[in-house]
Amino acid sequence: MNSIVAEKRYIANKLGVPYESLSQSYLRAETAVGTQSLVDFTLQTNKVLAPTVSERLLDLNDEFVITHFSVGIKNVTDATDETQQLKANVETYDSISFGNAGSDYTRFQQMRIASIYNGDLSFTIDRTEFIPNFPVRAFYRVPDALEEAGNTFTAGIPSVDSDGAGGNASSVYARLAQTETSLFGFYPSEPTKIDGRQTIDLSINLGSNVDLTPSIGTNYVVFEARGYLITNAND
Amino acid sequence: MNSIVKEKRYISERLGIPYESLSQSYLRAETELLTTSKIDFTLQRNKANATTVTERLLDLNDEFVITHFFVGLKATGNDGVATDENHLRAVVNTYESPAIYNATNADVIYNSNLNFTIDRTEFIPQYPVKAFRRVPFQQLTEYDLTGMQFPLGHNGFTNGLYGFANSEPTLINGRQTLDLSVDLDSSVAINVPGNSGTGVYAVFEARGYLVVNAK
Repeated sequence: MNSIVAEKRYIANKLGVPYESLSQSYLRAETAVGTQSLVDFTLQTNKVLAPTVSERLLDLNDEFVITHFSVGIKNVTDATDETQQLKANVETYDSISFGNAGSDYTRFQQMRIASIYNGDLSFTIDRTEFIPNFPVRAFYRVPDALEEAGNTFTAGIPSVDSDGAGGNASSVYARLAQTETSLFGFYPSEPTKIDGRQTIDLSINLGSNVDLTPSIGTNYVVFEARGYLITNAND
Repeated sequence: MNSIVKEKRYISERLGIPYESLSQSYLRAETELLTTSKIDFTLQRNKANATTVTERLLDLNDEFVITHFFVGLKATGNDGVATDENHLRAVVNTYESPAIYNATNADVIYNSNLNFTIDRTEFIPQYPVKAFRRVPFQQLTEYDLTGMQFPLGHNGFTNGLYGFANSEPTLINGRQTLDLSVDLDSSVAINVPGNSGTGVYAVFEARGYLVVNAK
């Protein structure tokens, strides 16, 4: 059968969760970053003061089984604007969303926000290290088609239109980065059950302070876990 | 189930390590390339004089099972005095990207061989470094042809194990005698300090499982 049935069967047998209680779902935690050496994520609603509109956190009685996980980056011009938060793409590399004019980018140095891809992810559940060190580079993806900015209409520059007639240079729409699969940027995980009452410590360790602030807006680091929400978990 | 469960089951049965003690993890060692015929990597923290911020080495009581390994290149853009930020912002490349390594002889490593000796026993006597070379469809170019300064482009990186080769699952620990090197068999000036291809490093990375609560 397909991967979902195989995963659910395995989880039901291994973790003792009824097959019919496993619903495909996800968790998503976002952290706005500045100058720091550690990027912390909070996965539980009761521990977050003001979650963004695009976060999906564990409620107190929720249980979730992680099967895949990912770390990405996103940029919004106005962090308080929920529409912008909802429109922002989570990128798998330091695309043009994170800066302009090459000021933060050379042939030797990726953008500062992409420093996270040389860090390691640590995941501790109830004071037990579930993942002591995992390379964030495992989530780095640069697709074959990169994001490109568009060119706006420029009056007075002659060109040939598609109908063969002369005219002014027309606009070129921006291109978005290619996304190849539904799990693009994800890495498989040992199926692991977490719940809303555990002590969950999840962070990226950079080992040194780095200024991850963009020239425009706010940069976020986004953790996403795919897997199964356990429905009817508690009485 | 998924590849992680299969690997952990195999390692548990084969090496006798409890399944629940295996945590997905990695090791990473880096060596600056100057003029040399042999590139040594140090995998243990107690044997490394000065580590970079991006290295992840074995502590004395650590045990690690290697399932995949990789050798790549990186340039910090800063000769000999690379800052932590230079190291964190440098991309590990899977080939001798001309826009980065044009002024160096970094490409020599792809015609050399990797040797890995554990406790004086040759685990990998000779392995071609060319097996780790991946040239992506999307490549970094120094100049953007559309006339805009940005983007300069990126080197493609299409999956989580891009550039890695499979390894026989092998247990190493922080107390063993580990000798890991890339042999060029001839002395080469890979990077001359002061030229434009500055601060070039060879990077060894092993993916696998850290054995937690090992001791």
